[in-house]
Amino acid sequence: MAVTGSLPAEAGRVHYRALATRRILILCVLVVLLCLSVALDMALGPARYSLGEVVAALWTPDLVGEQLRVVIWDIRLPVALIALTVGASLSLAGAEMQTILANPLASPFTLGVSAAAGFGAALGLVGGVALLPGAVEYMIPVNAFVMAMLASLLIYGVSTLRGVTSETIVLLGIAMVFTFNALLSLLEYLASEQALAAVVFWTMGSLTKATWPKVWITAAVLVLSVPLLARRAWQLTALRLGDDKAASFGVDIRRIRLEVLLLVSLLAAIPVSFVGTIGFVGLVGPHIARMLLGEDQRFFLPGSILCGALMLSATSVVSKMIIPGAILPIGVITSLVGLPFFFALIFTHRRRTW
Amino acid sequence: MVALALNAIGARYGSRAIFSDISVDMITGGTLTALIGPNAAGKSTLFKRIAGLVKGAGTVTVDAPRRGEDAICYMPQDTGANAVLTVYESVLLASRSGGSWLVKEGDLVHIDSILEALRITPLAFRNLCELSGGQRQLVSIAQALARRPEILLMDEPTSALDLHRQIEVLHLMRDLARRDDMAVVIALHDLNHALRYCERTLVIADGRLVAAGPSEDVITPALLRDIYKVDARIECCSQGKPLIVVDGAIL
Repeated sequence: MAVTGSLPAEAGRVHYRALATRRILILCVLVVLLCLSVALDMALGPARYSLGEVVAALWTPDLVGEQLRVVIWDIRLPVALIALTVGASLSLAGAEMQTILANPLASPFTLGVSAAAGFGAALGLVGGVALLPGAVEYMIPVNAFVMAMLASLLIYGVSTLRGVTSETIVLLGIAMVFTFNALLSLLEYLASEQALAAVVFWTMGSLTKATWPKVWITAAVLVLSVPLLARRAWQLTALRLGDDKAASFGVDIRRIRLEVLLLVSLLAAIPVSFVGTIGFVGLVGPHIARMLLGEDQRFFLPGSILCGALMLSATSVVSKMIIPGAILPIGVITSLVGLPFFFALIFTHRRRTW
Repeated sequence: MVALALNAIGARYGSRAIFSDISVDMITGGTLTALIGPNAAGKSTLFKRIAGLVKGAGTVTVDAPRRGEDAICYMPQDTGANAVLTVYESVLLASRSGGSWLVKEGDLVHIDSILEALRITPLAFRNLCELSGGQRQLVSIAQALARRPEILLMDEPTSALDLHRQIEVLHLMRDLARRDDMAVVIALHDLNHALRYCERTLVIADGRLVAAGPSEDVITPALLRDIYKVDARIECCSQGKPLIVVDGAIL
């Protein structure tokens, strides 16, 4: 067996460089598709514009008509951008939840964060209860956020206890989904007809609640979280080899798990409180990224962000195209359109995906 | 010269003591040391305690150019195979537990040489989840070597390998230990391997160090009877090397 002196085979590094280049190309394609989807999202609606008009309105707003400028900048751009930021945040949150909990089912939806947010919103819509006094104007999103953060912090708190495994955390999350859904049903049962309709609409998830402050807040949380997670890319990847192995690579497992859990809690809670329950993106976005790019976080992390953003943005486009003039709830469309696409990917993929 | 010394170290999980008061004077670079003992004797925990992954009593003294826990690499039994990573990526990952996203040419050359030494270059771009148990174990060894350890603690590195591969790996480890002045401690169940390849042997049983010293002095019929409950003889093989012949278990 060759031990010393033998010339190492170059095949490995040549192949590795090619693999890395291919992944960078895939990321570039995702960026292009995302730009196209966001532009389409802005072109479609009750008044249809060409992509040229959309680009002109964005690039030189002073040179286009006032109606076009107002529709693009004040109405459609916030919706298009919140689809992008919410999709990206939920998918990134799901990706890192799956990574630190070593579970393919982990996502803001399956861990109870979305269900808690739904219950928080319903408390406001049905009972007029403001969980934070003084925030009456933004009662619904604030309520949703408070409950989502409480759910996340409970998961975080439990995970700090000694002897708690990632399986325990996932089970706790699933228990919370059932609990909050039961509480939500109870509120719906007690609600007036009008309040019931509002709760049902909220829980379906909708991008039409988008405003510029919401866009800025979700974007800011995303922009602040990404470098913190990116700094830990190697350690996060190592976690996927199992705790013992990651620890043997020098990763402080307990610390990274807690830090990342806290960060993804924020990443999940904010978008959910603004746009309602959009469950599918946080679960499936990361799986699509994993199939395309593998689990090296240097590619998987940006890939999850792009896949989530593209998924929600494309869904927003589709939801406008299904019945022209009407905008269907995005949460419903995401699941209906995303599911067959996801299954097609799973069954056509040659390699194991988890 | 790389050296590792253990002074009255112990470890416990909750209120249960796994082992206590283990002292070993000198494990030196360039040598292979076998760690043997019955199942659940605490071999893995001893490795984790030495590597600083489990806290406990006593002190671990490391004398190495790179000093500290960084010089020590623990290779766990668990080969972690669920990740959607290629063999090449996982070995590269082992060499880079932090720092920049950029991978330098030198890192890749290092990975290539390790895969070549272990003769697993053809597996380089297979996914971990597609490998057999033995192949995973070879990847695990590659990961440990990628960390350029000065003290390497290998937890049953040959348990899933065929006979040819077992011998290959032990030869490789002996050569690498000598070449790189690396101190290698290997948990083994095959005592003939310990006799054949390891200069020294440590024996733990019932949470304490039972014997330590040159392998031929430590592995004796008396030890096999007391610790493993087997009747055995130490014979000489055709090459003049000691060989354990087991006559039967003591029931």
